[in-house]
Order: sequence, then structure tokens, then C-alpha cells
Amino acid sequence: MTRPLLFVVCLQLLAGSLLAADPPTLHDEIDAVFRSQSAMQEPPLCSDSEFLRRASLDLNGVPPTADEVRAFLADESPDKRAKMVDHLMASPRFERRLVEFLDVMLMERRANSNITQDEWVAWLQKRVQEKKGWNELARELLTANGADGERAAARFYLDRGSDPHLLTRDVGRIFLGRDLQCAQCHDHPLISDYLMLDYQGMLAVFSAGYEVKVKQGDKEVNCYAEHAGSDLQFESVFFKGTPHLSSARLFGGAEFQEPFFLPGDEYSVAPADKTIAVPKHSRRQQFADAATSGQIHEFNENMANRLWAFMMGEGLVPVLDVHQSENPPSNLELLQLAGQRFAATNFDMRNFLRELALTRVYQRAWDAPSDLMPHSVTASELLASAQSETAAIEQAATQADAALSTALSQFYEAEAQLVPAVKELQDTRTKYADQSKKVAEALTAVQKAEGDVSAKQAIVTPVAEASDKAKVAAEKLPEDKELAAAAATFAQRATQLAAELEQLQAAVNEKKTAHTATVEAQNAVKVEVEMALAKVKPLRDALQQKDAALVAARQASIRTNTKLNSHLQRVEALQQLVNVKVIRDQIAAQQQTIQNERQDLVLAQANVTDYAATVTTAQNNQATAQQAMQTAAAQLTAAETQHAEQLKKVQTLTVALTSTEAVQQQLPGDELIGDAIAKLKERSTTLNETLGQRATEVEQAKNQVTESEKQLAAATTAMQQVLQERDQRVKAQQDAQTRVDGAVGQLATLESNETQNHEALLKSLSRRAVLSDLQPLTAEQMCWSIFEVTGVYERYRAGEIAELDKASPLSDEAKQDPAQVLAREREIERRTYEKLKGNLGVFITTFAAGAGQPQDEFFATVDQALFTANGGPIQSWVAPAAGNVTERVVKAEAPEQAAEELYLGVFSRMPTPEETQDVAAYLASRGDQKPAAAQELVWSLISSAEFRFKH
Amino acid sequence: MKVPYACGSQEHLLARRGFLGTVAAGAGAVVGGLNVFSESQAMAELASEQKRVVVFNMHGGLSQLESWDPKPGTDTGGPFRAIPTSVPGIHISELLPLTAQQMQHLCLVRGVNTSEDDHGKGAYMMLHGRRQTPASDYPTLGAVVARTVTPADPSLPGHIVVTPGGSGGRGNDAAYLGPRYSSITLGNGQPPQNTERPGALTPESDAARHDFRRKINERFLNRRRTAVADAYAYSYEQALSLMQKREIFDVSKEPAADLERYGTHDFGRMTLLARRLLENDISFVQVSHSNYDTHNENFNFHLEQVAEFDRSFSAFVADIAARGMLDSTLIVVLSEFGRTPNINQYYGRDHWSRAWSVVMAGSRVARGAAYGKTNANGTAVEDGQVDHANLFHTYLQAVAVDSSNSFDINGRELPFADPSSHGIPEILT
Repeated sequence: MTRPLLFVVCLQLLAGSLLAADPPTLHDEIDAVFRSQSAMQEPPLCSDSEFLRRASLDLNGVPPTADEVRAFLADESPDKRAKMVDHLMASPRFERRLVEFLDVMLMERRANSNITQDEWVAWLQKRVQEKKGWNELARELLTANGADGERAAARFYLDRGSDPHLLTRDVGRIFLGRDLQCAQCHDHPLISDYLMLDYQGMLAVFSAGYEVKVKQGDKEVNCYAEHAGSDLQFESVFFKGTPHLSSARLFGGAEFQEPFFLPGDEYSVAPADKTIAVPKHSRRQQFADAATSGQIHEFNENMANRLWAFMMGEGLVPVLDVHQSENPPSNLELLQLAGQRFAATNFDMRNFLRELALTRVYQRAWDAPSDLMPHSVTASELLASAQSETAAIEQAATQADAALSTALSQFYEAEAQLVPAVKELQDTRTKYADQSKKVAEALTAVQKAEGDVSAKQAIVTPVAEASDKAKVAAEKLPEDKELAAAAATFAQRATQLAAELEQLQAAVNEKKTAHTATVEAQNAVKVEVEMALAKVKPLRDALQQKDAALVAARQASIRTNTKLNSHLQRVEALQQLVNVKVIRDQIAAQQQTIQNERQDLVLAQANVTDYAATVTTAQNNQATAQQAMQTAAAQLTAAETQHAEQLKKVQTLTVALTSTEAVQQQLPGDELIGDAIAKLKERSTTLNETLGQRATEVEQAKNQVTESEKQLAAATTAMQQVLQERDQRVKAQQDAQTRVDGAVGQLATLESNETQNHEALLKSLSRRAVLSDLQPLTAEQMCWSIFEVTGVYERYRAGEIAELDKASPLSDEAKQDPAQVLAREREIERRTYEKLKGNLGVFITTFAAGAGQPQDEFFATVDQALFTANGGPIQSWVAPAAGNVTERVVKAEAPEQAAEELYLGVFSRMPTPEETQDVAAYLASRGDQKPAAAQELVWSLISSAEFRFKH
Repeated sequence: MKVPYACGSQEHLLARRGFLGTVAAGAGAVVGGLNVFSESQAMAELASEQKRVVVFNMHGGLSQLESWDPKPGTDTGGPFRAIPTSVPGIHISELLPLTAQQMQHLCLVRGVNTSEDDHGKGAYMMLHGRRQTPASDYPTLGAVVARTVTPADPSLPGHIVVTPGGSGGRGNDAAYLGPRYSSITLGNGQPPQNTERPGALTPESDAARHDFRRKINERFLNRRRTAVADAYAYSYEQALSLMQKREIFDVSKEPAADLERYGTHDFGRMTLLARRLLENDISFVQVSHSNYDTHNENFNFHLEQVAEFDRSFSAFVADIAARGMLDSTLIVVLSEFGRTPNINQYYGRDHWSRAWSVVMAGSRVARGAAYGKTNANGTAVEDGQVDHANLFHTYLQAVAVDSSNSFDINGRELPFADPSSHGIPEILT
């Protein structure tokens, strides 16, 4: 951490000293804007090795070599980053990178149907080497016709098939950052900033263009010529029946002023087969001049934003070709500043990129900040202040929208007035054109008649002369009858011919009269045209006034809505930052809640546990009572049995006594019988006594049972009460558990909110230039980076240098001449590129989006992974060869050294101790297969996310 | 503008891993569809049951008169007869005797009128459901299906084109849906490119280097987790998974008897491969049969070509039905256009888009049906006229995709199918 901090101080000193002497540089201004608006003061900067990799990839398209990293890390000069930026930009590889950027941006990998890729790239390269500004380049592209100047410049038009709709769309997207496609047939349904008249205004420029075949050398080629423009009429598919005029215009601007030409007078070179027509007024030229004038903020900001995205990974306006208020810049002030300054420096792309590279914004760290809490605290005040502004900004936007709505309806009213007049003008123009055709026809007729006269004259004269001479000869030889007859014939023929000539001359006069009549009629129509024009003029002037008002209202509406949305995004970002603490506090509170709930749970659990003994006692009591009850019941049963048995004995005896008494009546006085009766009676008495006893016993047993029943009921009631209490305690425990579970679940939700907020916040911070962002390498960067780290590029480069040094060595004197040295460097780069460019194709088909699709979207597909994992080329490039990283790993004796070579060579940074250990372990596990192991390691690094992205 | 990765709902977070396969995540721009997540979810609701689509593209322009809509005994009918099929009342050309026995599964659409007689433009319309316009390119049916029909196995490509030649690489036919949904071409029935472990690597060392790669990625992601890096790391896991399933693409694993049934020619092999791919839950397969552009000797050509098609196609339909896949598989037989009723002086038929036929089967499509009607000698549609846009809507609706829905690409709503058109409800059950 000490190094970046030291660097921060140095930069500030540097900035301070600059401020004293000169006006602020753009990079200082950019940093100042961010500093004034950032919720995080002085965010951390990236490490030196990260900076070097980042700058090398951006400016040279490849990561630095291990030696370059070592040298940079060892360099202790405070301005080494700035020096490195200049060093990288001095390389021909910077020019190559800029050419690739321009190529992909302009052509989006479309097929080369008219201009070869070599021609096109050479053309771009020349412009880049000549340090042409973007305005010049754009003007050249937009006015090219493929015949004048360098043909390659016409590729933008020609390889889009010269289609007016495609060109309208792509010029809008690529040069102005506005994709107007959905405004083609109606005002844009989703993007209120884009109107149908924007689309139609651009279409009015490009529908004048057309493709024509022209002979160049010994072959015919397509060229992009231009007709004289006409007022297109269009109607919205939403509001049929209301015609509009579409004059040529730039997005958001007023209609172009155009000179008026009578039909037939519009061209300096009229359209014809195999000819490039040249209209006296070129809409395309007017469009190109206006767009590149520096006054059109859409044009200026579009490229400034694209160059920003080139360096920073994401544009200030994130979707590069949809600048509109719903896709607002992350920093409106900065976008305006960037656009103005880019235009003010004559659209110098190098200078602009250099300024971006020198900003602290460019040098931000990529890693997630370790502690956001303090920033979260400070952000709440900013958030409150920002939120307090929202209502006013919203109101301004609403007002601007209302003003726009009024301006738009006034414009359309004025247009409705103008449309019939224009229609009339068009009709008179058509009439004039028809009349012109008649004049031409009449003139042709005169010429033909005059031709007839001349032809006749050519016969009349010699015949007349011959006739005269024959007459003279006949007079001189009056005898000669034959001669006289001949002379008569001549005379007759001469007279006849003279009569014919006279007729023809009469015809000429007739045709001349007719011609004069048509010319007069034409002049009359011309007057009509002029009258129609005069009628149009005040209406057009009125419309232009409304147009100017509309332009102002639109710019105001777009500006205020952009400001509003930009503001709302800032509020959202601040909210995310504030949420860091809010969510953390919620989490802490929730953790406390969980702790409390857990304590409650422990208590409840104890309540359940403690009560167990009481439950057991009650259960035992109940069981005892149950037992007693059973015993009593058994005793009752026994007593009743005994009672019954006794009763049976008594009854039997009673029967015996009754029978004996009956015998005594029959045998009265029989002693024995009497004794027996007496004895039986005696026994009966004792038996009855016992029966009485048994009855008492039964009674007692019954009472005992009743008593036991009471006791059992009491014990059961008691037990039920205890069980109820236990159930309550168990439920209390379960409730406590539920509360704990709920609280834990809430914590999980909060933690997931925190993760999401964190991710969103990091993204916002990247957008607001507090952190840097990941940026995938382009297909070209992937290709050249792999060639770079595997040493393939260096091997080919060395070969080219050797060849050049042999074929045309630079003298010592030449070596002192920067121009010659640069020329040599360029030649070496060009030759190396030419040798290796054949490999680009597979990278483009694998890693780039399809032809004609936007090229700035990242996607990770299986075929890419399969190509890197198993494809032949990469397997062969990672093999050990002539001092490349694989060979250096193989040759390294100590594992630390191997790890260093590996990480410096592929990741352009030193390995951490853990990484060194991993490498050592990998190599050790492979024993004597070190070359294979080294190759696998290099492959692993190349196929990792750390290599795939700039960070 | 919201960042797709942090769209803020619990379900999305939970489902993240599952979606990574389909994420074309934002880096340079806000990318790959702002609503990658919500949209995928919407898709899941649309097609919960795994659906599949197979398209037989009769390249060059199949003659409807020598196939689905014969007019024997008329001035335009040519030499071939019409034969009865397994569905009483429906007759097709005698060149399709085996297919005639599968008619109970098929639905003939005989009133197709596309008004486009150019090969390129016609093919574009039939496969994209719209006319090509210079300023806007549309994704092909395969890309739309791959995007809207949730695959059972996200590691497999969702959009396969089987051709006799071809590179084995990724096509450029997904337009704004992005390369994730572009076709993978299986040229000569070969598996996708680079699906074999490099010869110099043992399985162990390949596993070791991938482990090392994972370790590096983990360290990098721990510094800061991002959707793009996650998606990139995950693409390698998908690649490994695909390598393990490489045999799915190897038609030689199918029984020899099946190849015999399908025919041992290219088209037979490709059709059998299509069956294999569909059985393995590939969402969309397109097979081409070349070449029907019979300006000369139309009848000889069709005699030979249609016989080849008949054998493979009938076996395919029978198998799909027998294997219980017909309810979830849409089968389409299309061309760029049909051929003229008029027979030219070279015994050929020329390009003709006014009255021709497309065949569908399976999924929600009515079985054993003939929809639409041409006049007696086939020179005009008399009833049930449909065009490419109606058909495109119908294909999607047949696999339970709401064709009136739209993709959300960077905030732009782009309809699945031509919003000014609609499907053919009469043939959907």
C-alpha cells in the first residue's frame, strides 16, 4: 500500500505545480470533477504491475513482458506511470491498436465486399500515422464516393450496400451515438428523445445517395454517388393521413438550409450510366460539414464517450449507441467537458487518450474496497442533500417536457400550413420539368428541320449550278437537242428542289415558332414556380422559426431529463453506499435478536427439562392409584365370591331344614329328628352369622373401591394438569425455536441483501470511477496477448528485425534520426503483423460478435472455452520454445523462480506466497515431466479469468 | 440503469448458478439483455416441459406437386400419381409411399403464399419469420427456440445445424440475441469443434491443469466477484461437461439396423443424428436436404431425391412417435419456396412462392390433418392462405412459447415474431 500512497502524494504535488503555471490539463479537470462529486474521497489506486498491464493492454493491445514488469517495478521515479503512457503511445503498436479500434467501430466486422481489409486497414493506418483528427476522418468517410480521393474511405458506405436505411441507422449509431431505428416509422415508442423527424431527416441525406458502377482502370467498381435531394414526405404508422416533410437534418437539429434549383439545373454532372453524378448542392457534404464542425455536441460526445469506454471499460454513457435521457451518463458534467475538450483539441484522439490515461480515474484499483463503512456514514448526508434536490429537478424536467410538447405541436401546425404549398411547388416543378422536356423536344425538332434544310441545300446548290451551266452550254450549242433536253431536265429538277427547300425552310420556321411557344410556356411555368416558391417562402420561414424553437425545447427537454435520470442514478448509488451501514446495522441487530432468541430457547428448553421429574411423579402417582384401584376391585370380587358361596351354603341348609321339618310333621316326636332339627337350626344360625360377616366384608370392599376410584380420579386429574403444563412448556420451547429459525432466516435474507447491495455498489462505484471495472479483451487483444506471453510475437519480430538489418541496415546516423527510427519500427511492426495476422480470423470468429452486430458486448460461450482448452493452435503456442515463458519455467531451478517467471510472464505480476506454493506443488507432483507440467501451468493461467479481462 | 447482476431479488440470487450458462453478462455496455434473469424466468414459465424442434430444410425449393399437394391428371400435374395415406381422404404424391403411412402424425399446410421467389430472401423469410431489411437483422428460428425453450441441460448447445459440409463452428445467425444462441454446425455429422482432449495430454494431466485453472479463478473471484468473470469461468465447466457428452454427436453409436432403416446416404445419417440429438434434449436441430432447385429435369430429380427423403423422414417420424417424443417435439418440413405448376421446356419447374406447402407434426400441432387448399391445378391458394410470418408464430406456439412476447435487449423490446402477424389457431390443439 505504501507505493500507491506515495504516488498519490507525488501526483498531487505535480498537479499543484501545474496548476500554478498553466491552465488545468484535461486529466486534472476530470479528476477534479470526480473528486467534487464522489462519495469517497481519494479512492485507492491500483498497483504498479496492475497499472502497467492495464496501460499496455489499452495502448498496445498486449500485456507487458516479464522484463518490462521487472523494470517498471524497479523504477523509483515518481512520474513513471506518466512516462510509461508516453512510451507506450510512441510504439507503432499503439497506432495498430487505434486502427483496430476504428476498424471495428466503423465496420463492425462486416464483410469486405468492395474494399479489401488490407486496403481499408492501410487507409486507416495512414490517417492514424498522420495524426488526423476524428473530425477530418469522419468528414472524409462521410463524403467519400469511392472514385475521388482514396477509394477505401468509401468502405463505410459501400460495404453497407449503400442502403439508405442501414446508413441512416449506422451513421446515427456510430457517428452520433443515437440508434434511431425504432423511430423509422413512428416517434420512438420507448425513447422519448428520439423523434421520427430525426430519422427522416437523416434518411433525407442518405436516400439521396445511390450506388453506381464506374470504370476504374480495367474494371468496373461500385461507387457511392449522390442525387440532388428532394423533400421526402412521410407519415407515422401511428397517425396515418398526416403527411410531414422531411428536410435533411442532424439529430436534434434544425432543418438544413438548401439553395433552390429549377429542375434541370440541380447538377454540375447529371446522373448517367457509369457516371458519378455531382449535384450542385450536396446534402452529404452539408451533413458532414455540420456534424464535424465542433458545434454538434452529439458528434463530439459520441466519440469522447467511445474513447472513454476504450480506456475505462465502460463509457460515461454505458450503451454507446443509445445516448438518451433514459441511458444517462454516469456524470453529465464530465461528458460535456469531455466532448467540448475533445472538440477543442481538434478531435485529436491520441491526445485525448493520453489525457484519459493520465487521470487518477484511470488508475483506480479494481479490487473490492476492504472497508466501506466510513464512506457509508459520510454518504448519508450526501444522500439527504441529493434527495432534497430531486423534486426541483423533476419539476424542471416536467416543465421542459411540457414546453417541448407545445413546441412540437406548434411546429407541426406550421408544417401543416407549409405542406400544401410545398406540394404546389412540387407540382409546378413537375410541370416545369415537363415543359422543359417539351422545349427540348421542340428544339430537337427545329434542329432536325434545320438539318433537313442543310441536307437539301447540299443538293439544291450543285443542281442549280449544274442547271445554270447546262443552260449556258445549251445556249452555246443550240443544235444539240440532247443537251437542251438535259438542260431542261436540270432546270426542272432545280425548280423542283428549290420548291422543296422552300417547304423545308417553311417547316423550320414552323418548328421555330413552336419552339418559341414552348419556351414562352416554360417561362410562364417558371413564373408559376416562382410564385409557388414565393408562397412557400414565408411559410417556410415561419416553420423555421418554429423549428428553432423546437430544437431549443428538445435540447432543453433532453438535457433536463438526462440530468434528472443522472441525478436519480446518483441517488441510487448513494443509497447503495448508505445501505452498506444500514444493512450492516440491521445484520448486527439481527444477530443480537438471534442471540436473545437463542437465550429464550435455552430457558424454554430448561423449563421442559426441569419439569420432567414432576411429570414422572404425577405419572407414578396415577399408576399407584391405578394399582390400588385394581387391588380394591380384586378384593371386592373376592368378597362377593365368598359372600355368594356362603349364601349358597345358607340356602342349601335352609332347604335341608325345611325338608327335615316336613319329616318331623310326619313323624312327630321323633327325637332323632328333633335333634337333627335343633342341630340344623344351630348350624343355620352360625352360617347366617358368617353370611352376615361376608355381607359386611362385601360392603367394606365396595367402600374401598369407591375410595380408590376417588384417589385414581384425583391422581389422573393431577397428571393431566402436569401434562398440560408440560405441553405448554414444550410449545414454548418450539415457539422459541421457531423464533430462532425465523431470525436466522431473516439474517440470511439480510446477508443476501448485503451481497447484492455490495455487488450493485461495486458496479456503481466502477461506473462512478471510484473503482476500475473488468473489461474483456477484444478478439484482437486475445490473439496478440497470447502471442505476446507465449513468445510467438517476439520470435517473429526478431526474425523481421534480422531480415531488415541484413537487407537494409540503418546507418549510425539514421539511428540518431527519430523519424527514421520510427519508420523502421513501423516497418518491423507491419511485417510482423503481416506474418501473424492469419491467426486473427479464428479469434475473431470465436471471441467477437457476429458481423454487423454491436461489438462491445461480452459473452462467454462453450465454443470459446473448447477452443482455448483443446484447440490445436493454443496447445502449440504454449509449448516450450526459444526463451518463452514455458521454457523459462522449465529452466528455473527453484520453484520460487518458476512461479515468478510464470506469473510475471502471463499475469504481469509477482506471485503471492500461496501461488508460489501452488506452482511448486504442481511441478513436484509431475516429477520428471517438468516441460509438460510447465506447459499445463502456462495454459492454466492463459485460460483463467485474470488473463481474459483487463482489471 | 440497473445492473443485471444485482437485480435485487432473492430468487435471482439463488438461481444464479443455474443461469450462468445463459448469461451474456455486461461489461463494456449494459449487455446481453438487461433482463437476462427475469427473462429466463419468464421463459421457464412458458415452457416448463422440455420441448424440441427439428426443421428439415428442403434446400433449393421442394416441388409441392411432387410431394404434399399433387395434382395428377391436370395440365400442371406432371407424370406422378397421388396415393392414399393412413388418413382417409388425404392423398400425397406416390413419391412418398412410406411417409404416406405416417400421415396420422402429420399436418399438411397446403395454402402457403410467401410472394418471394428469390432463394436467399425466401430462405431468410422462412427461417426468420420476417423479411430481411438492411437496417435490421433478426435471429433465426433456431436461435429464438434456443433462447425461449428452456434446455434440460444447459451445457449442451441449444441450436444445432447439421449439414453435409461445414466447419463445425459457431454461426452468425442469432442477431441481437448474441452468440450464445448462434447455431453450432455439425459438418459431416462430426461433433462440435475442439471437443476432444488434446492428444498430448493424459486424462490426469488434463484434470490437473483444469484444477489449477479453477484455483486461479477462485483466487481472482475472491478479490471481487463479478458476473462476467463468473460466466467465463463457468464456460469451461460447460465445455468439460460437453466433452463428456461428446458421444451425443456421434451417430455411429446408433445401431446399424437403424441406419439401414434411415438409409445409408448422408441424409439418412443426418436424420438419424437428429433423432439422437433430440433424444439427448438438444432444443433445436436443423437438417438440410440438398438440392431441389430443379429448373431442369424436375421429375427425374424428385424421383430420386424425394425417395431418399421419404425413407429417412418416415423412419424418423415413426421413431419419434414410438418413443413417446411426439408430444414434445415439433417437426417442420420447409423450403424457401415451392415450384411452378407450369412445366418448362426443360421438363423443369421454376421458383414459385404463391401456392406451396409446408408440413408440421408433433407437439401442439393437429395430427392427421390437411389445412388450406390450392385450386385444381395448383396455381393459386383457394383456402387457408398463410405466409412465413404465420408459420413462424405457429412454430413457436406449437412448443408453448407465447409468440406475442418480446425480448428485452438493452431496453429495446424486440418481438419474438412479426408483431403484425399471428399464428394459425386452426392447426393447434
